[in-house]
Amino acid sequence: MHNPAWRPARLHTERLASIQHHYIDDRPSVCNTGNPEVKHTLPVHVALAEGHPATALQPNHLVDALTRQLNAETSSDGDHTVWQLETIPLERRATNADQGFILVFATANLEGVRQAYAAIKKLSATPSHRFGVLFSGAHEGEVVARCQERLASGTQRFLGIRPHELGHMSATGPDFDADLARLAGEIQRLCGTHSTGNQLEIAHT
Amino acid sequence: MTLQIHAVFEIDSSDLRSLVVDNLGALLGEGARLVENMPQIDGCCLATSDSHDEPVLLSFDAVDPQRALLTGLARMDQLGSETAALFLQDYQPPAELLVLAPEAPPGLTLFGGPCPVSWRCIQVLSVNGEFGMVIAPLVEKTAAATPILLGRRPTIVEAVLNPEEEQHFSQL
Repeated sequence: MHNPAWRPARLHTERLASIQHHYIDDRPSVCNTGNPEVKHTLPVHVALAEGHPATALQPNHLVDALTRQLNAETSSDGDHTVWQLETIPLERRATNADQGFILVFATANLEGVRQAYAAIKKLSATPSHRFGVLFSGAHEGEVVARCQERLASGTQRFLGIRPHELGHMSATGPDFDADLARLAGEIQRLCGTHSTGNQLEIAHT
Repeated sequence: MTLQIHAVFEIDSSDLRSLVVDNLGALLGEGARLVENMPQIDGCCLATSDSHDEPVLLSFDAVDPQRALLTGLARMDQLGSETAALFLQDYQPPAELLVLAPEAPPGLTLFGGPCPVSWRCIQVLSVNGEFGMVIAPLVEKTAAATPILLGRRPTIVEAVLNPEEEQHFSQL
């Protein structure tokens, strides 16, 4: 039975989630200084389970916000790199990205972990690919830790690779901006490191 | 007095609806009733509670069993969504779909499991100009559809994972 007391809060959250795109720039703000731009494509593999909560971070919101953040940071550094995020569905094996780092965005539950693993397995046929996994949709930190552990142990055991753990992000909340900045920083650092050898694990709390 | 009885193949949906409402007890058992506060779902569907207070969706058509089945399935889908629960207090989605039609709808036997679909044979008659409805007796064979197990196509994930990986990723 649904408790009527929950409805206003839930409706409010859903309303916020549905209009949040109004507050995010469609196009990344990049300083045009006349210097030639370097396009940097980041493939994002979406591994969302059917039960991905409506109030969790959604792929389009992630892509918009992360593109904006990455371009804002490079712009402030005087860098002329333009970031583009390319969303890849699970059915697709290949990516046209010109570099080896792939972001996997997954629901923090068993089905999300399975989908994330399937995506990594399909894409790991290209040895230069490296993976970072970001989860969303968990209500407890313990669930995220279990998802990360299960995925990491599976990829290590069956594929011989260990994806970078990029932690968990919620759609809203006071930590969103800080989490987004941290994620963008991690991705820039990982994409700047072109070593295809053993990957270091990045722990997040 | 001579009774003029003949089968009816064209009946207004509101007339058929009234006939079904008048015969709820015969269809669903003594004590069956319409669910209160439910907005009208469709001209050919009724949200009801059976004699055990279980929610049952009735979908009916005097002529076309396939239309009754498809309409009922579409409404079951709507009423089972969380959206419906948002608008109705103490809402309980229907657990069963009962199709009322002169013949068994094609494809009925494929259903089973969590959303049971059953069929009762009805026949609308005109008796001296008045509409009436004959409800066929409940026969075990027609009341409970036997589900046929279909070969399920594996999902993309299942196709990618081998048995050892399936074992590893069977739990968190």
